[in-house]
Amino acid sequence: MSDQGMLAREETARYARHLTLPEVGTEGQVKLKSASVLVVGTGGLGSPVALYLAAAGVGRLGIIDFDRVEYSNLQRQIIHGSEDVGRPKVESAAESIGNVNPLIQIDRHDEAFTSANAMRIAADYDIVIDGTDNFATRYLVNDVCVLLGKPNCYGSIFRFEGQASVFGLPGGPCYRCLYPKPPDPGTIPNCAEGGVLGILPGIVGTLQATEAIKLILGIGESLSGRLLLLDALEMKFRELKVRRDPTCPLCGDAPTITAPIDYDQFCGTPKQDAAQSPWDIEPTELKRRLEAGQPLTILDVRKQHEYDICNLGGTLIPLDELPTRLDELDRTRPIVVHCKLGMRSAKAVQILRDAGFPDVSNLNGGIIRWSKQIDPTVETY
Amino acid sequence: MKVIIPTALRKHTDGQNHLSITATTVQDALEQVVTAHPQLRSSLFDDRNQLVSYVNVFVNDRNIRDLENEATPLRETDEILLVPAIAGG
Ligand SMILES: [Zn+2]
Repeated sequence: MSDQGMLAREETARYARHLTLPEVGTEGQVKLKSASVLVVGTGGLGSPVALYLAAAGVGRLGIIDFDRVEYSNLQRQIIHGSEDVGRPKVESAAESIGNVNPLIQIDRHDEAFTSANAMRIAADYDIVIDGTDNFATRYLVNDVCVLLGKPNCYGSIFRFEGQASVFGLPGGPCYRCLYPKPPDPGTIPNCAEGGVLGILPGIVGTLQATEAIKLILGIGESLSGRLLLLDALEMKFRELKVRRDPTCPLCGDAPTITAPIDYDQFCGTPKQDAAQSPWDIEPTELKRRLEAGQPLTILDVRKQHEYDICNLGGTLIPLDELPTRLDELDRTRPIVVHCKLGMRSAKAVQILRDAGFPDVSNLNGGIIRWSKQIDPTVETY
Repeated sequence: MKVIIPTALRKHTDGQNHLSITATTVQDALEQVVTAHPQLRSSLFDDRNQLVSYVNVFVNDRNIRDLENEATPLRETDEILLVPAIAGG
């Protein structure tokens, strides 16, 4: 072995249980020490992934996240603590990782993972872990991994369900082979809307970390070519076969995707300033109307539990109850409808307009944009 | 045979996590499922009545794209899984 082969005494003590395992041993531990892994997202999945990879002695861990810690993260994002609320996630995560294992190197990328920087950032690592929380970034991670020839340890969660696999290994499938196109926005709710069992990312994230460790050590059977499905309510794992699609535009025999694309466009992600309804109003306009004392009804079409987190003092009628509760609203007053991000309220505006309400508008970007642009004291989630 | 309904689609099946049906092909099975629960149709089929690409249909552990797509024949013991893309993290 090279000089790298030498483990310091504090390392042999720390990794004793690995060194005892014939499948790891000193040689394997040195492989871990020489390895580098990029964890994209330090949320529910990224938390256990980063902590376990650090504890296992992966020599260099990159963490990338643009977000800050919020109270609603703490139910599952165990790398962050209560006193970290408001801090950049990367900073908070790096501190926790350093506590677990001060012997490894941590690269902090306090920024979003985008088409503009992803190739450059990921190129510097052996393995990438997909711990993101939206389709656009998942396709970005997948594409970058295939383009750079890096394994992508994939995991995804929703409510009580999880998925895990390894994409981008030679001869194996990629995420696009399994899901050629993302759902239309709004068809599959995200965790913020649909909820998620806090423990679930702990299970799925540790599966991802296990796959990364196996790849580094070169042991066992990779999940490449298999999709592991978890239903935590039944506590049932199912294993499905996933084959590389020869017609895949990314990893197929005649690929057409040769560089990262515009993923917001690909996924139809609503841009914050993009129109959501023909009857949009800007947060600044609502503020002006309220300050001018104009009579209006604020209608909140989110769920009760969302209302309990934050609200604008509006009338609460959840979108799915709206069609049967129209008579609770005063048709003679202007109505401004909002939800979390503006998609549900856009539907509500259409329902009200169709029912003959004459003056109904949609608060573009929802209460989240309101919080960002007008009133930061409104809690976000 | 059983059709397994994932969490994301259970709001369309009154919360049921599986449906029991008798069908000879995947096409037949999916038709029965959306007939029994019409709200499921827009989650499974597009405007041209094609299966949407973000929901994979598996018969046991095989994707119907690797079999005979919707013409894939079924046996009584088969399990049909609807596996939508999920993105949470
Ligand atoms: Zn592919």
